[in-house]
Amino acid sequence: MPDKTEILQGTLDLMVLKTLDSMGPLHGYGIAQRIQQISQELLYLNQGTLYPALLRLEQRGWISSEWGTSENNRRARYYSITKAGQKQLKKEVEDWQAQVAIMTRLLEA
Amino acid sequence: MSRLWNVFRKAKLDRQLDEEFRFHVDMLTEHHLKRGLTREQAEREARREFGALEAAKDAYRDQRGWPWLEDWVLDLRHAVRLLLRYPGFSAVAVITMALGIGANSAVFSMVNAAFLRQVPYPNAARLVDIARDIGGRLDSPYHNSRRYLYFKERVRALEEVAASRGGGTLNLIRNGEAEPVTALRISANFFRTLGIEPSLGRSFRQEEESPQGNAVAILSYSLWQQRFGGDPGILGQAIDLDGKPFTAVGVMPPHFTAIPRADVWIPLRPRPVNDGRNTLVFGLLRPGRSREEASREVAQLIGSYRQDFPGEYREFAPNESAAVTPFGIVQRFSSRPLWVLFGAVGLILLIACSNLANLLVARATGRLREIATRAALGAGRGRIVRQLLAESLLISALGSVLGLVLAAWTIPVLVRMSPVPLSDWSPVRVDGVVVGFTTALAVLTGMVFGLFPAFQVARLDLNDCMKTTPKRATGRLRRVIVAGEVALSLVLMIGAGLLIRTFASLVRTPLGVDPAGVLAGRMSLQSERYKTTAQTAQLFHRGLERFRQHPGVEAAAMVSDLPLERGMNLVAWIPGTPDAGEPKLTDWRYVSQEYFRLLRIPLLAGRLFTEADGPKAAPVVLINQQFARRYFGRENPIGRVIHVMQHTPEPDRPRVVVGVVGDVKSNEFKRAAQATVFVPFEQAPDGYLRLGGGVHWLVRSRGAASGLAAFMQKEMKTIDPLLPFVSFRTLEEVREKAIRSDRSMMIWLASFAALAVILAAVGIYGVISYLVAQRTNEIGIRIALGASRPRIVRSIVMEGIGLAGAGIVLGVAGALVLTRFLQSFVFGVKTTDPLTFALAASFLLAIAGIACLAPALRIARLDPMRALRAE
Repeated sequence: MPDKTEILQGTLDLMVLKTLDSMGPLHGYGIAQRIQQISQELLYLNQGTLYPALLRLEQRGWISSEWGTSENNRRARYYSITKAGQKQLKKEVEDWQAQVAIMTRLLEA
Repeated sequence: MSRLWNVFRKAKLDRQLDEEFRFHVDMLTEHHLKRGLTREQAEREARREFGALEAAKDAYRDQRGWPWLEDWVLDLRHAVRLLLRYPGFSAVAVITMALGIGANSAVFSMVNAAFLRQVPYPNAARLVDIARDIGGRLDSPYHNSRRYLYFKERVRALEEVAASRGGGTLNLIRNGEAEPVTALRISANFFRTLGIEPSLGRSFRQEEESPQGNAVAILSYSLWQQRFGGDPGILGQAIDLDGKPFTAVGVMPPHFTAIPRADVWIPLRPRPVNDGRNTLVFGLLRPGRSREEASREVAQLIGSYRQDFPGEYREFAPNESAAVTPFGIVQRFSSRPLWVLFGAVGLILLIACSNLANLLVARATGRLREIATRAALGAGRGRIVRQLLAESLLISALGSVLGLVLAAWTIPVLVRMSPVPLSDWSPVRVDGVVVGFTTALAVLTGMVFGLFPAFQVARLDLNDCMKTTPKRATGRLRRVIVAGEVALSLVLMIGAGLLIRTFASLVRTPLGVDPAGVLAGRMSLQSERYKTTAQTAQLFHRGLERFRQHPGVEAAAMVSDLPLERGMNLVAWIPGTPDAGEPKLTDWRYVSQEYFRLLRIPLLAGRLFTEADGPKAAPVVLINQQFARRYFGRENPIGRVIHVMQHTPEPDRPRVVVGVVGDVKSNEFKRAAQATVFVPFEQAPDGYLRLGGGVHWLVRSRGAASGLAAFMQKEMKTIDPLLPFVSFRTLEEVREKAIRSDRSMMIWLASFAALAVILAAVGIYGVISYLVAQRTNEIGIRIALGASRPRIVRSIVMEGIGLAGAGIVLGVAGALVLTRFLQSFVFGVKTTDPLTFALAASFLLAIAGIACLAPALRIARLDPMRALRAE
């Protein structure tokens, strides 16, 4: 089992934006579960740290939030991606892919 | 921005946060329950996955609000509570701060009024003076007319070069009545340079500045209102100034503040000659040009000027150049006294801060347990330091508010006692600039004295503090601080002492005249009717004779400039001396025969003037002792001849010295009398009175005669109704004015010294009380074991005196260095005068002893059993 690694702030932002973009509006628990699911439990996410990141993204205008009702009829806060967030996601994906390409070239050279 | 808003919505947002987190953790618990864990296991697992709840909340809150600001608000609330809990301590602290900061604000408001405010003209930012620069030291912006015209034609960095010259007091004659008005001669572009235009009519035209130009005048608003009824028809009318008609062409707006004050402006008419340094030259910078550029250009121009007119430089300083300076720098000449006060008041603030630092350090050591508890609960060092700083800033904030109130309250006193001349257009006020300065000072001092307890605390091992009450926290830092305070207050005391002795010397210094009972009436004689010496002589003879008729008049005389004031500065040549070709600067006065007898100026050699020294007789002069000593040395001056450089078109006749009289001080008592030459009125060249500000009629009253001024005015009216007296003063008043500045400085510095001593005494008292409290235990034991109380009291007092002694030694060293700044103020005493030093030191030592006594005496009443029990 690979070591559980901590993730950097920027990468967390990217993961949240991608999650909300593909899944639509989710509450904090949902986002955390989804990330853990996709990374197949490889990434250890101290789930509480998600919230400051969500707040930061909201302050930057890339996601918005709204109180709603959850599946089990409880009040929960739902986050969704904004237009600006989608633009930012696109940009970050491009940056990430460029980085990967450079590293790959470096390692194969 | 929303983050700032969030600071205030804290409660609501916290509830929402709680709800959101709880939801998340519950969902996690559900998830684990579904997987088959027990409730207990599920909850634990959920908590672990989520992470530390409180830490997450903190991280969230940090992102949400401005944690920095929120913490400060908390600190502030705590600080306020603390202050209220110890009202006595708080009162002392706030009052100490108020005195320290208040004094600084007060002096700063004067500095602001005197030097920092810009003149109230639209072009203020670009206005500059062209000042004389003597070997790097800036001098006044007064030049001769030739230089003014030279600059005007050539300076390119300045858009305008303008000038003004005192026009003296002219008599405005209306309806057969004469009234003195102050006149200023100005260049045509004077008002334009300032950025103002007359509200009625126009300013002068360029052609009116030439000698053939029309005689025109511009009136001030108040003159127009008061004397001409505010009638706009005045434009184009002629007004009569001393018999000459001037056409009124403009009226200045009511809000225009004339600097210097003037009632009427007339054209300058400069001729390219060396007519003495009487023309004020200033200018307007071209937009985009700097003062430095203009300064360089002006300095270069002086270089070429010197080549063009080498003769002028024989009279004046060889290293004289010119520079461009901020406008209105004339005031900055007398700046020294104010800066000395500023320095003194800064020292007081240091002393106040030291007291406060000590107070806070003492309190911090008393609160160590509380602070240690905080640390245990997770407050970092930084947090604790911030908390202590909040407390000190609160004290300095409250103190500065109180200090500002005190400063504002004392403004009338400040204005009366100002050691520098203040102008009416720049009132001493607590305005935005002063408030800004005070705020900055409050923050700075709060940080400085707040850091002391903060560092003390930060250095201690807080663990130990939890266990027991700390014993001997070394009072060393506090003792050093108090020694410093004593040193500073000694410096101030010595300064005050020196000024007190200076003032005493000034009051005792012989003036050379007897001023008691002498009344002087000033009169302006610019009129056409008194152009020739014969005309003036006749006036004087008639007037003096009339005055002597009064039984209350012991003697009457005339003089061009009053004793104890400056006279005309002229230049003389003395043939037959080794340096006959060198011009000699001399003071020059025209007098009537009785002058010396009236003022009781002694005759030292030769004879006084007599009736024989009339206009047809050989021209004679009297010289004073200073002149004789300086320019004749050991030779007998009687019978020698001197030539004078006149500013009238005709050359002067050689004059014979017939006597030597005693020296009389000029307006600066601290300097020796100037070399002076006296000439009888009857032998003055024609038109000589055009130069000065008028003449003075002197009478000495017999006994306590009163109403002499009214009498003189009445008599003068019968002789010439169009010659009013401008003002009356007694010679005593003149003398008072000359020493006014020194008296003010003395009172200021003495007050500051008193304040400093009080603060230092409080400081000593504080430290000694602290020491006694610290050693209560030990003292109790010693008493219980039989030690004598008087002995212990004495040892405590000695310790306090030793502390003061260290401070005094430090203070003496400091004073030896710092009193050098008072060099230009002292008179009759050296800045290192041992007597003053010794007296100040002894006085301070005595005060220190008294301050120690109170806490030490507590020992006398100490109950040893209670002392031992107190932990």
